[in-house]
Amino acid sequence: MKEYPIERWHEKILNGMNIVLVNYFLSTKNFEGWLFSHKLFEEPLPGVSSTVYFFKRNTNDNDEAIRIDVIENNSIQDAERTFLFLLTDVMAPMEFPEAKNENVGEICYKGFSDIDSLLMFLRGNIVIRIRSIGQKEIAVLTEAKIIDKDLINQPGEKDHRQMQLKFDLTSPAQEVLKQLASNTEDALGKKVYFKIIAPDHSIELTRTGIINTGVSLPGNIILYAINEDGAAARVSLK
Amino acid sequence: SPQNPWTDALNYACTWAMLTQTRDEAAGKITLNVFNLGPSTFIYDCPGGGSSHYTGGSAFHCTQFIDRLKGGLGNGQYVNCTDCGTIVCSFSNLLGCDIWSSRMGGSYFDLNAINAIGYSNWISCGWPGFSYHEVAWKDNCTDADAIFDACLQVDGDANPATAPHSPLLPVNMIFGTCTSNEYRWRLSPPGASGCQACNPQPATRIRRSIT
Repeated sequence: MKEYPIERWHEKILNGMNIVLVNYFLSTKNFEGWLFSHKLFEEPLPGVSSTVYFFKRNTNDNDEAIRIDVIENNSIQDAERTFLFLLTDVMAPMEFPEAKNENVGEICYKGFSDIDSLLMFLRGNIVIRIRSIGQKEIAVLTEAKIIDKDLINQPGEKDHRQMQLKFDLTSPAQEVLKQLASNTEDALGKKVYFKIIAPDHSIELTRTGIINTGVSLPGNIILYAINEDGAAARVSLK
Repeated sequence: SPQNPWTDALNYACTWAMLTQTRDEAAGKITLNVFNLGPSTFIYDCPGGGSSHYTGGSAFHCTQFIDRLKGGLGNGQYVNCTDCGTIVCSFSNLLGCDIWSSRMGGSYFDLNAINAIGYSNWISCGWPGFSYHEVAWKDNCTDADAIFDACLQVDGDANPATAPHSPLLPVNMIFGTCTSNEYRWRLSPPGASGCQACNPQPATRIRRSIT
């Protein structure tokens, strides 16, 4: 039976960022030198959606290619369960080795290869699996770091724009959060995703609301709406 | 129905099963042709621990599989047992077979030497066992029913637990018991962590929807 240190994972996560993303998508422009090939949608577990992106280096051959699974969970706790599923629902009888020095994600594991040709990591409610699938086995650490940076990045002032959404971002927090999952585009038809960041783990963020302890919200929960061009709107949830 | 694929898939199924006269023969030839796609088109996923690449949940990514057959990227070069079982199941059923993809094991079982798709050295990934295995399986997917395994060759000689090994692709082979000279006995050595742990899991049998 495979035994992963779930308690240690949980402890590490509680000491890390409290971040939840809603309708997250990869910006294919972030992968310089790669050509986007196609994407698929999967449901690895009931109620858990995954978008799988494929890239190749050249149009004429399949020598270098990568696959990126982006699995968005309802909460960080759900992401831990999905991550465990990803690590255990394989034919190999032994545990994957932990990637301790790669500095990707809150928790990161790698495949059974001398190079980092497979990395699986968890960040907030998102589980990422990225791997080399071409004829030539290549390391994917650079691409994994790009994704992880994108997940935790807080858009700067230069990215802040007025963004027309189909709902009011200044409504009370729970009202705003209920709207996020069903809004995948802004009012101009640009794809949009949302990033919610709380200062610590004293409240539980989910894709559809905040589970709090009965006290008022800390007041410094930040919500970003980010569209496919990288433009971002920022509000403090009330 | 999502279980009715298109003419490309039918073309491959017919070509692979050409000149066969029974459903079992057709499924057998499909199994052989899928296994023979290694190593040029597919190879067993050792670096990824034997993850699925052409199946996800209850879906079979047949469009990408066919793209790969035609020389495209598809979903890449790797496959695992779930992919192979699903491919054989889906393409055989296109021709009128009545096969499932179903699992055995469930936690861990030891392996005899095997030769995984795309390999030819009887070492493959070098793992001592599998946490599960999946094959195309007839009828109720029990130990009395026959399997078709396009993912690996077993040792077909009188002593599969030791070298030398004689490659045998399991085609319409009864799953069997730990004492009968059938699939289970060839795949897994005697013992509590071996053959006795390699039990059919008929509750997992599935025909994946084709996408």
